[in-house]
Amino acid sequence: MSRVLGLGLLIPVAIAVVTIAAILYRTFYQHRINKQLNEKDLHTRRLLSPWAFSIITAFVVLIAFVGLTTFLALTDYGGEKVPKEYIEAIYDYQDFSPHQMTGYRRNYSIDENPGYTKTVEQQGDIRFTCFISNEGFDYYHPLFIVYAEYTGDKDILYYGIQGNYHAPDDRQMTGRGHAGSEFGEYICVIGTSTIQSRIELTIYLYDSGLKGENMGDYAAVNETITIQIPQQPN
Amino acid sequence: MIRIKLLVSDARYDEIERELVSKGFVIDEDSDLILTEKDLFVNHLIVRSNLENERIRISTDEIIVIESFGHDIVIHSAQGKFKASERLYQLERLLNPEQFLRISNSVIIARNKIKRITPALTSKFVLIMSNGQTVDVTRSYYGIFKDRLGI
Repeated sequence: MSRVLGLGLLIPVAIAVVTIAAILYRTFYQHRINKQLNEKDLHTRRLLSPWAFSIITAFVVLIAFVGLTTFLALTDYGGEKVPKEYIEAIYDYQDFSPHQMTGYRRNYSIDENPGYTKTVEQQGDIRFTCFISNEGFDYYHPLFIVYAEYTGDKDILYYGIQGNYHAPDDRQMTGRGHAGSEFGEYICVIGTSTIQSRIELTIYLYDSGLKGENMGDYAAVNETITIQIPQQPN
Repeated sequence: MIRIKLLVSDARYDEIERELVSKGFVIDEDSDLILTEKDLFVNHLIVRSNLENERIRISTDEIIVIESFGHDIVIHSAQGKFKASERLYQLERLLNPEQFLRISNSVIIARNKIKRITPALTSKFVLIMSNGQTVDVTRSYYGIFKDRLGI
């Protein structure tokens, strides 16, 4: 933002510099030639005409402008530099209700998944059962599987989910969510990431059909679990 | 009878006039036929008063600006305005270039009568002359003007 603003300011500043320089030089030139004229001291020292001076100044400022913008573009000075590995990274998640656990998803279990390390965490009225792959990222298997079960006594009808991926320096890489899915016995979230990252999954449970501006509005329960994805082998 | 206008130096004027008159020529300042000298720079001009149309001889030292308005050539001097019968290009040849300078297609100025020079941002000068008159150095004569004045 500041970089865009800075570049946007360069053009009016450059025009102002050329204009002010041209006006100042014209004043100096006028004073000088009239002094020469009054002292009959002509043919002493030729000065650049104001017109030529303006053209040269504009050219110099243009060169400086091009140089500065090139420097900014090459060094990304003043802007937030996004590392190449973040740009090329793959990170995504999907969530499923029990009736959607079909096809290859039948292989996943809330009890045990070979090749994955299991942890269980209770957050309020939601129990999160997490599986993190021991092998790291591959294109065919999820890097993590998370089951969210409601352990409270409310009659939950719908759920929503918001998943945010954060880089190690805590900048958010992406985030998306949805609400209004029919809630079953649990929610299964599978996802992956090719880079070291922190994933915050927030589950919203609704006991009515009411929806607000924010996912948290009218939610009977909302809890967040954080999943740390370690550095992935290249 | 052939009428002829003499534009020669003062030193030779009487001698040439005498010779021409003896040959039957009539010396007439209004004649289109002009006899002059090579590389002659006059130090006076025969002009006409604007009001009474009388012929006046003015020194070139008194001339400030010479302007052409169509076929009229107006000479601005400290004494007032006069009309010349020569064309502007003819006057440009007759006047000493050390003293006079053409600054546009229609104006010749006396160099030592420039009071103030104002440069424009474009290739142009505006001159204020000693009589307060303002004249422009046009783009075509801008370089020549700078060269001749050394500014």
